[in-house]
Amino acid sequence: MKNKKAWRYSLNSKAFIIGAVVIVLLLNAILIALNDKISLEIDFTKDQIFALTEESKEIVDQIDADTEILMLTTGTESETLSMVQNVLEEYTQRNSKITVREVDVIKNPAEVQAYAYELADMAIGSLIIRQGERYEFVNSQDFFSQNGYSYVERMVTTKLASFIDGITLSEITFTTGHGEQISSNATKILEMGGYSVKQLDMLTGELPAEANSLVIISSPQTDFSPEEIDKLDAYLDKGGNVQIYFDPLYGGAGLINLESYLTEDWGVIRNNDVIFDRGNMIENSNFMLAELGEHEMVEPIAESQKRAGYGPANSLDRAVEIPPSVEISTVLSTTDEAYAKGSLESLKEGDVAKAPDDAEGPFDVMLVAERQTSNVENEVFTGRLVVGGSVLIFDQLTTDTRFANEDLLLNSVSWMKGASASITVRAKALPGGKMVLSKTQFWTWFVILVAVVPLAILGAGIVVFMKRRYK
Amino acid sequence: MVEIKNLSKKYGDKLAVDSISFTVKQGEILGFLGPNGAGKSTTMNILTGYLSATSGEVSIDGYDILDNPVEAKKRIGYLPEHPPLYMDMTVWEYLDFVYDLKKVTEDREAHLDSICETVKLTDVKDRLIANLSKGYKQRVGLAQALIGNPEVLILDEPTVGLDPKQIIEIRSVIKQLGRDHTVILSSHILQEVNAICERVIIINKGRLVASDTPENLGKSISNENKFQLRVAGDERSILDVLEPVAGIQYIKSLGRKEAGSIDFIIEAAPNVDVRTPIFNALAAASLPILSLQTMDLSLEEIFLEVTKGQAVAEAGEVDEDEIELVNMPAAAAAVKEAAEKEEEGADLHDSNL
Amino acid sequence: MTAIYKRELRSYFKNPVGYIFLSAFIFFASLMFVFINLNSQQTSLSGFFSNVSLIFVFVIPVLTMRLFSEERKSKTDQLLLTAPVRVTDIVFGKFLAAATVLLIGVVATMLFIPIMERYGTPDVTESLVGYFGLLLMGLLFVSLGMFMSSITESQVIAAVSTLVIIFFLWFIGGLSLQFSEMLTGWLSWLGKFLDWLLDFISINNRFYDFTLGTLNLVPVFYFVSLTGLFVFLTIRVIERRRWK
Repeated sequence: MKNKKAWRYSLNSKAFIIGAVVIVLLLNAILIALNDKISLEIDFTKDQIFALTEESKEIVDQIDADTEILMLTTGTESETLSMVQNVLEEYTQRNSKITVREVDVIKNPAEVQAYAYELADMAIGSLIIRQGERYEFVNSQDFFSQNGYSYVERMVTTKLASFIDGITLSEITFTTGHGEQISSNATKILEMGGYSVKQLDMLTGELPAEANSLVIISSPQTDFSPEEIDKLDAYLDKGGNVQIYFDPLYGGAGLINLESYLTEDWGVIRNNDVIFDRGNMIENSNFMLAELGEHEMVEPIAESQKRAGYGPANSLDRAVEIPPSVEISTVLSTTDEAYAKGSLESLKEGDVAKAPDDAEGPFDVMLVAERQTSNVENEVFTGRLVVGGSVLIFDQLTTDTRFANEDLLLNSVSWMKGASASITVRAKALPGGKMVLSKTQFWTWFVILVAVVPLAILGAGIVVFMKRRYK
Repeated sequence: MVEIKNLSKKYGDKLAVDSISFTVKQGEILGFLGPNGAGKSTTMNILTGYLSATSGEVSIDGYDILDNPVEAKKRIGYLPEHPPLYMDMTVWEYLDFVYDLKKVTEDREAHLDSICETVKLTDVKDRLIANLSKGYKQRVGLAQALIGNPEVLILDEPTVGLDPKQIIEIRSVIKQLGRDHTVILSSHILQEVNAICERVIIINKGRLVASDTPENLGKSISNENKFQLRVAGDERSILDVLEPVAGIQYIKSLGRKEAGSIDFIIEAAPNVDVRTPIFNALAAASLPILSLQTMDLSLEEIFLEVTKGQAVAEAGEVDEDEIELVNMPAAAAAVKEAAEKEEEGADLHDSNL
Repeated sequence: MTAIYKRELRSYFKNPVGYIFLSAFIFFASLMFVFINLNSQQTSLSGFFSNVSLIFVFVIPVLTMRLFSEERKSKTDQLLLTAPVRVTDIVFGKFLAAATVLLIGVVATMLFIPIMERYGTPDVTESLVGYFGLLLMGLLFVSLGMFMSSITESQVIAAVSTLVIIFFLWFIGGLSLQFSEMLTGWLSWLGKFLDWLLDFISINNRFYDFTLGTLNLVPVFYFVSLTGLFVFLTIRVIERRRWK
């Protein structure tokens, strides 16, 4: 007992050290566990990427069965995955029925064996959202758009909504059977926008009955039969919404039934030509910038910096006699300098100079027609029709960040279906943006930051050191 | 001022300091003597709070070094064996730092200037410490210890490695400081302790073996009457005169040291003054005494005796090369004393718990 | 504490060490900034942040290797430990000095924001969150380096061991070891714990949150508590040495 004091001291130290390590680990573990339940986070991103929107919260709160989100990983962390995990955490914190789990597909392929077919073209980070027997997929390739937006929350919320009885996603129907060119870009944008995209052969299937449904006819190459035209007309009579896009690149010269229906019933003429609007042409491409009409669907675009564009397009005209119940307004048009050549050949040959026999602009490129009808009970319906002269309005251009075409597509859909029809969780701006600096500026900064500053500091160090050395 | 009770320090199984107790009064200069590895530096490191004792207590001006380290350390200026100098600083920067470190309240410039003056550093105060000679480095170390005017100065081998001139300078500085400081000074050089200290403590192998003034130490160890005698005449006749003198126990002839005379060492029985009988006897035989002096042991001899005596006692056998001595009774007495002290200390200690 | 802090800080700039650290840190950070941001004309610093942590692996040991090993080697620790200051003050003084040099380096690289503002509109708050995280991570490495420096007399050993440990912590998250698959049956709890621990000590995994522009209490506490732990351990090491 001679060393009691020292013994007590050192024991204290040992107990202290072990105790401190354990306490630190424990507190951290508690916090990590707590973070799954409640949010311990302040979101400083400019668009609150990591906070759920009100729309999402509303849907998440309705989830009342155990729902599991599987994230497919290869075991490695990345900034992207971390970001998605962070967003998913918001869901688990909001609703304890929702759990998130990472599945290492390399080590644990068996776990996702059942979904092998669907997963074939999915990238690492993709999600499987499942509730009981039902499951949905979110492809990680769709998480972020090129123009710097995150769709993670929108897509996850949309998929979760599909599990909730009573919430059915608003459908958009693409017709098939006429060689339609259905743009995968457009369908993706629509899906990401919270719509469910379907395809329908009008000969065999029935057009949707809901008032806020939408049918899109995308660049048909063969004509519609009279029966199909009748179905379409009946659908519009009941207040249906139809978008029709023609395109010079995909031919469609003999669409006699369809075109005459448009002309006679709607006062819209589709010319089988190609527009050239050289003043608005984008260098080294076939794309042109469109002049915006005065319609509510283009108002937000007019306010933004961006402009809508279009590719090679048929010009649209209004018939001399427009049925009295129809009202037409321009969405996109050309400038006065525009002209239209009769055939696509000139485009292919590069002979784009104006010829004397070319039709002179301005032309409509995209327009809207509304028609009011009433049935026997004197109920009034408004059928809405959008006609576009180019399918390229919503194909490549929707992913090109220089153009506002993605917004235009979603605006046109929500105008027709009504905003409430879809679950629109807005896409969120990703951190960062672009800056523009010239090569000279780049190299100037390179020299200053990488050479001048470090060398100056080092030089100062050497001077101080040498000076003191001989003191 | 400084009180040490039953101090022990173990390094693993090795006992470096074994139950040392002593006190130092205010204003005293205490010499701390012992061969290399005796435990001097360890003891001093414990005194200053650099190391903690395995057991025992240290208090400085009433403040326990463990319970109240800041107050105790405020009263100590410490110059360790290797002066703790930052080679990359100038003398002034260094002293300035120590001034801050010790939280001194006196006027900075004046205080540091006066210290530089005391230890003669003024000329080099803007030089880099790394570029100073050994003597100057030692002075910087001393100056550091003086900052804040601590009441107790603890100097561990302050003159080691210095040239003779520097040694003399440093010693005079220490002596001067001893006027208004309590100083504990360790050394393995006897003259140094002899020259500076008022009291000496000798430790060996971690044990305290002696503690007294240099003079008393000499007396107490050689408490016999021992004389050195020089008499003119031839050896035989002188011995014939001396041998019958009552009280003389032992006579040893040292041979001729001066022409026509012989030197002797004479041991008398304790408490018997044999000087007058010797004078009378020699005078009667017409043998003139040229000199007669009592022999006190020098510190050197004491040191050898106590340390070696202990070595004998501990080892139980005598290394003949090393030991050609000695006054066995004195050494045995020292060992016995130490053993008693130890027992006493151990008792005290146990009763403390 | 201020005396030790001031001496230590000055010593960084009276010796080449501080300049070497700042120069190397700014050089590598600039290199990353120039190529990740200026070259690809992108204002988000998240890519920069996740790479800058690698620089720390190599420059922090320079900053911390001397802190205590040098004191012990040149015996100056005798001065500090016999002075009327507490060990806690000594350790904090030294830690804060190294932290200050680190801060100078981090703040210097904050000039990247105004540079980007000339050519675009970077999100300042988001970037500041990243810098805050960077600083917290740096402080953890500094405390770790200080701890390593306190247990050895050799600067080289202190530097190398710090480098190895930081590098290990830096890349351990990328290994994706899964003990729970190796240890099954009655050992499965151990596998789960080891997985958790592995993820826990993977500093990069904790750091991600900051690069995304969110301030989460979990990683903030993680960095602060571990930094505190290493400061505490350093104090214990020095206190305990006196009892040896």
